Amino acid sequence: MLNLAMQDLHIRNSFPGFSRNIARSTGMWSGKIQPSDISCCYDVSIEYNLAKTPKVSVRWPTLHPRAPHLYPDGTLCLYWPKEWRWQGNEIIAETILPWTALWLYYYELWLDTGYWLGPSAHGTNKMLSEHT
Amino acid sequence: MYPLNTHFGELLRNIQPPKDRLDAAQGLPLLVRDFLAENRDFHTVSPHTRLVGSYAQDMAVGDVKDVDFLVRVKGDPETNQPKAKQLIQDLRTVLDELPEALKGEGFAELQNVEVEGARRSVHVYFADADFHIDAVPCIAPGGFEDAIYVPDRGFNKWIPSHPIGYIELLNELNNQHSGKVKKLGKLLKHFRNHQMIYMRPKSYWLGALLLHHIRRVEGLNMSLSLAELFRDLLEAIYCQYDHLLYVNDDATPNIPDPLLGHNISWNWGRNDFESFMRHVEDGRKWARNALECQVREEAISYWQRVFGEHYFPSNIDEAASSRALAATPGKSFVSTAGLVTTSPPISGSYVSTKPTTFYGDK
Repeated sequence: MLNLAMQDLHIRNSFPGFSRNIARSTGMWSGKIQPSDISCCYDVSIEYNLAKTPKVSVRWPTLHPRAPHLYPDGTLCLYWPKEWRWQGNEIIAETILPWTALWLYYYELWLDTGYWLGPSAHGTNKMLSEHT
Repeated sequence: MYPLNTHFGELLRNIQPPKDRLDAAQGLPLLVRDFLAENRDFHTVSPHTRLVGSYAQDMAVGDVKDVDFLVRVKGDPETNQPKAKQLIQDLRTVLDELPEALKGEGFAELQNVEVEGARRSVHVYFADADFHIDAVPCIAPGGFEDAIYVPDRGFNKWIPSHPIGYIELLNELNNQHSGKVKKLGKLLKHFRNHQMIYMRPKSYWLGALLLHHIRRVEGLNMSLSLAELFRDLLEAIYCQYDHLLYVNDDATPNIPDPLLGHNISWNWGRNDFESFMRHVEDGRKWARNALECQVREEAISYWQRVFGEHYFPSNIDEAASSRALAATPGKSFVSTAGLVTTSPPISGSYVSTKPTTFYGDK
């Protein structure tokens, strides 16, 4: 299992704009993600308790109230547990963080079209299949 | 709020100069450069010429058919040596030989070349390509990377200018803000072109205003989306100069040169300034309304008033689908700033994305 210090090392190496707020047994990182060159810079935070799965929230700007692929507490659903499960030896900087950037990227496409055009556990979007 | 990033992406694509213009802007100046560098009757100083203006800045929008082109000569601007007026005539005489020289070099597709003198430059028109080059002689004591001297319009003297410094500053700020600066500049120029047929402010003035509002204390918040930045830029320009509309009947802005500080808008007429401000006022209201809309279609409609229906599309389904596919998890990359790309970024580190399927509520 990777400890918080190792996760922090990986995060700061791959995403130097992220910093860790020290807490006893919980890793809290915050930083900015700009998914496309005309997007805003989203203020993102990651909370990781070694005994649980990492949780990602967007602190700014406020997400659309009907945004898809969110858990009831407003954190992002970045993977389908049936397909992939978080394990303590996974690296946040190689999984959770890049998926957060992708989530934001597809969220913006959802804002523009009304459709989630990324891979979804709820099936492929009709619009996407029509144009490909 | 709908930032409509895909729509803005398509808008930026729609206002790009056509490819043949971009090719002409890249290729034709090289021909003139080689001709001048080898010419023995007109002495140029290495590196002889330099492309400046919107193509060199990567800020050209629409069907721009001309480039500005500096021709470096020896001289002393203080003593007005060589005399600017005479030098332009000499350059004209030499460039008159360009069509023959091109024929001799075998450029059969460039048979129709017209050369004429202007007040501060020599105008070369490649009729077959429908493209113009404005060759401006300059004295560059410290090279192109330093301040240079160009002939003043209508006066027989040399005045300072720093076009390469401006390009470097623009590039620096653009890199610093993930490419948003030039995109914002292009939107401002297109807004002017679309809204104003006559009395348009010069591109360099708009560029100087843009840089001013990015660099000033409490300036534009560059972490916002491009749509919000455009709204804020129009707001900032309007608030900067609206007092001039009320102080007296002939006040106009003094826009400082971003590099050298002198007033570059000294010849901005009052009517032209008022016209610009009316358009900025309309534009900022529409942009504000667009960003406050709770209905996507209404937001699109406001932006279409700002940029034109022809340029700001309603239907972006195809573009959105191809953007979606390009980012497919497992095939895309993420930069250190979180930028999703289809290929590894040219510089800096990145992470290859792993496949995933998004879950949670529909």
